[in-house]
Amino acid sequence: MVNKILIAENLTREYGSGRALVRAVDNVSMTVLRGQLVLIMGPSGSGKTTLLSMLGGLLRPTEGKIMISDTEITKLDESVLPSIRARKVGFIFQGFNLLDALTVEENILFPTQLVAGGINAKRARANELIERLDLSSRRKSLPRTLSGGEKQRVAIARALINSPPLILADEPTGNLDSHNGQEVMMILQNIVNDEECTVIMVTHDPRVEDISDRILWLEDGALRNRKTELHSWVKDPVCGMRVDEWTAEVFMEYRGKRYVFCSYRCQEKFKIGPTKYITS
Amino acid sequence: MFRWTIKSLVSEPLNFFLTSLVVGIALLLVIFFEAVFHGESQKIIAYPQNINPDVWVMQRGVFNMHMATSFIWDWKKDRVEEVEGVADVTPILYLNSIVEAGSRHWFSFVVGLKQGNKRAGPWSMATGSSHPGKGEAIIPELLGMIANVMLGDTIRIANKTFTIVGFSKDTFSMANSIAFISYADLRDIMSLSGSDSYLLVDAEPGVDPSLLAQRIKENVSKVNALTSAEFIKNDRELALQMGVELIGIMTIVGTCLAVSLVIFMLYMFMEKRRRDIAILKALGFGKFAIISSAIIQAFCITMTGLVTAVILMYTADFLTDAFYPQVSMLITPESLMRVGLVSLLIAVFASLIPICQTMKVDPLLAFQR
Repeated sequence: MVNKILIAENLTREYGSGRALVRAVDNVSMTVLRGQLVLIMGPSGSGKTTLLSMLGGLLRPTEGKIMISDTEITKLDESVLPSIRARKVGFIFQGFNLLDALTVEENILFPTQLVAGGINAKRARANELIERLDLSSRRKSLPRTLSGGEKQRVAIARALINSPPLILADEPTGNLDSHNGQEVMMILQNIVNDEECTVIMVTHDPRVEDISDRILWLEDGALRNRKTELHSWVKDPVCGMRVDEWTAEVFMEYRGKRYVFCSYRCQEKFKIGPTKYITS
Repeated sequence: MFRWTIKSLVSEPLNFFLTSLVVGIALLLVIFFEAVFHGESQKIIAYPQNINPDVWVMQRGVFNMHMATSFIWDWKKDRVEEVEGVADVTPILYLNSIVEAGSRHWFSFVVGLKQGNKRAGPWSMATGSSHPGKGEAIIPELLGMIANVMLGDTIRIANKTFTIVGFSKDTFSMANSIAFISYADLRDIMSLSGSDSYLLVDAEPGVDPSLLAQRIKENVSKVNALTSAEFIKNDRELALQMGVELIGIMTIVGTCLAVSLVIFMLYMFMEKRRRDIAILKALGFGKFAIISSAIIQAFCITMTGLVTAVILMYTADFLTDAFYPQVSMLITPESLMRVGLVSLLIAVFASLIPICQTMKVDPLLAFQR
């Protein structure tokens, strides 16, 4: 049990009711061990972020239970959940989500107010993370003066400051260029190795697959066997460009058929006159 | 958390400044109306306050000067002079009337002065004579400026024409002014003979004014006698009573406006911080910490608004003195304390909105891309 950091059993999350009922996550079960880097992948709208939110105690499942290092968080009262999140879970977001009014150092130290000892007890840990993530020269800088890569490193340091056993990362490289994205991935891999903490990451980035321990493939809210093919290429009906259906961000239903687009611009054109682009 | 609360408040200085300014203007409304009214009330009692005899003697049943009419037979002056402890008695005639100067009509206290009187006339002169003779008048310098009249010009009081022989200081307010004419002229206007309006009594050195007033009431029939302090107090209370409803209404209007503006500004302020609140919740900060932060921010904004309001009020006071001297304002510590208290209540009330807002913020907002 000690080695099992996270256990999720029959997790389901529903929105709406009756005919409008949507099952965003459908009966998902998983067990994640200490020191693993687990990827949650799948097409857009498959329920990855909903699942991650439930695992982090930000969203209650409609059914099922979640245990984070021996604590069943689904049974806990709303008033207790924040302190569990503060001690046991670190979050890394695609949009970095730093507090703009605080400096790099203050952002990193911010969550320490929620644990025993407070800021003073964690100052050495903060210094160590600042050194390790190469932020020494940016210690007193405000987030608006940082590059995307630097912001994400600060967010990683903030997630690690209270040494939580579980890190949940939602598309941590989504807003970064390939160089910075690579760097962040390496940092997360090192964290898994050095800090013995578990990272569960939602990502579309195929480069991460090589360094992960497990890949969970989510489709229509349920875990499924991942297709052997790496991509499912379809044609954008407007510009004719090749698009990967599994990872596409822009899509819509029209007359019961799903159309995938390379960009919002193409989708807008399609909306104006769909018949122009549909060939029987 | 406190550090973030304060830093996030001032992280956008322009936004914070504008919020405080708007809140300050709203609170200024509450202070302003009260200050103007107190200033005007102070001007209404300018005459008794500056003339300041030891005892005022008037018709029985009369207790003040403002909006009052008093007649006492002139022979009673001799009776009052005979009372032990009286050093000097100065009779005046007094009428509430309209002064027509240039094209302006101004409500005024008209005081009729006997020739050679030393204590009942204007206490500070800008220019000209302080002793009006037959057909002459002394009017406030500010009224002269507003009406564009000069020494030697004529004015009308109760359909009678007078030549301006002097301009007095500190005898003008928006509500009324004080004009001085001769005793004989005012007696003709009032169609009187053998009576005065008030007797201004000076006590001999060492005589207690309240004892002297009591003695006058006992020795002279059908008169009322009050010390100067009591007389002024009655006048001030009457002046304030006349404006209590107005002050009340304006305070309520100002407060409602202030509450609305503070709520609106706090709402806008918190709306900009929805994502920050979502991050705080996601990181594990509980309701208490977030609500406390919202209350502290509401309190800081309101108190900064209050300081802004006080600064604006004193600036307005200075500018009014310089450019609109006819408007009198008096900022009292009591009214500032009252507005401070009102601001506290506004802060508490207004912080309910950001509290509701923060409660509604979904931590999942932190996942939005």
